[in-house]
Amino acid sequence: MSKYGMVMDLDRCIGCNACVIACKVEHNTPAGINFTKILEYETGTYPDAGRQFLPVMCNHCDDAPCIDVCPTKATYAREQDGIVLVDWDKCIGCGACVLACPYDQRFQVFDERTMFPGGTTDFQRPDVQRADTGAVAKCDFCYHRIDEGREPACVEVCPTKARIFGVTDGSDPERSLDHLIEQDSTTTLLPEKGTKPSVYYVSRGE
Amino acid sequence: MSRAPFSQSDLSFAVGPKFQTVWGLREAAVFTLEGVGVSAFLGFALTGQIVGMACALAAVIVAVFLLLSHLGKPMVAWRAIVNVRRSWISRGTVAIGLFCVLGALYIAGSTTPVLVPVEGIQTPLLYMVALVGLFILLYPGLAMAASAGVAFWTTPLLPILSLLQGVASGFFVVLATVDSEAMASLTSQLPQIGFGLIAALAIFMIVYAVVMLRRGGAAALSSTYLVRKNPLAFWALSVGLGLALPCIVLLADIQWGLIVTIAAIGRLVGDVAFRYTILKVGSFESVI
Repeated sequence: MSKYGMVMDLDRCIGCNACVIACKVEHNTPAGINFTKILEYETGTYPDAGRQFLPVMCNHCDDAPCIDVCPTKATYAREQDGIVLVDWDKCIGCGACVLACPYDQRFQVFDERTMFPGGTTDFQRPDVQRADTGAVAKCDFCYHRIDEGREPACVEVCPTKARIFGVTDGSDPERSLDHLIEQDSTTTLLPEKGTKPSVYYVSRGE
Repeated sequence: MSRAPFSQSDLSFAVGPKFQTVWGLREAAVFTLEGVGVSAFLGFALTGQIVGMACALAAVIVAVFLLLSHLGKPMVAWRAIVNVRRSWISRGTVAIGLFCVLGALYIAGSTTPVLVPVEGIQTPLLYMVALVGLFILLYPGLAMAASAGVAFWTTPLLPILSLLQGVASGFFVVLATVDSEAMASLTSQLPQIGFGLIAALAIFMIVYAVVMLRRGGAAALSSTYLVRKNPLAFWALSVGLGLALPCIVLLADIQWGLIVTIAAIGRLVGDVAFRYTILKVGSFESVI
């Protein structure tokens, strides 16, 4: 039993969007829905201006508001590792969880179109189960890969190792993220919301 | 001609607050119908108007069907009652079902006592209907206040506003449809009650906007948008038709049926417009 988490090293992220594409291929998400995104914004002012990239995704919160508001218990945290998942058979598509997520990382599927007309390409996984139309979908930390002992697709593909996947409860010292999480420069998104995210952000300003 | 697989706008990962698009006009109409239906039912019950009660109950049932149409998967909507322990939507769904059953029983008992043969059950039944109704009046605000992603909604003021909206609308519907003698038999203070409801509503709307403005972040942005960017929905419909018009009719002591009916329609339109505007301006906090 492990509690999984992810650390985003913002000093390493170059905004290449490889993780966005890898996620899309892995989950074969409908057009317009991306379980992970890279937000891009400017920092500083001329002549010391710069660009910063911020990868965002479901934070798999310990106190996930999306779980409490779900009227059908379709959203739940997996017992063995705390990964927040949606059972599409139970989801009625009321949208309550979309509005409860402070990170805006849940997506109601209204569009069955794939990114490429006519179905999947050779580069996409045809076997992956897509969310029912009308249901709500989100990042699932690639639990199917984790169960096979692999890393999430976005982590595996990152060329700069800006995404670091591991455990946050000390259950596996080799994959522990504790040394990164305990740094002063590590934070989470909107910590004031009290959701206890499992996705951390580290930036040493390098 | 086939549609493009995706539009360019799908790929713009915008930074900054983002307005929610999940709940809109349909949900506003549902919340209004529930509120008006429940409060009008109680008003009609107090004045002994059985047809009115039936119409009010029908409004709640229409709201249920409208609610079903907003679901992504309406065929499995029955599942919405399984998380009563934690979800306000579950609790609201159960309450609406209970209201419909209790309301139908009360109407049956009023029209055909043989259908509800327990002696003296009508009064306790009405109390139960009122209790469940009170919860339904609060429920839209409670469900919205539980939406942690939208800072503009996470306040205990919203259930109170929802209650006041519903009661005020129900009051004017009853006022416009029940004959003055039946109303006068209830109380002689009708204009004062109506004016008090509108005044309370106006005060709570102002307090709500100010509190959210002072909260900062996405809540302040929503509050600003509510007041500055919605001249039609907020100022003309919500305030003009929903508050000012009924207020003028009451203050001028106009008792012509048609004018009161127009005021009641204005109140209903204002109710939907206000709930819609509140939904529309709800925004997610910027993560940066």
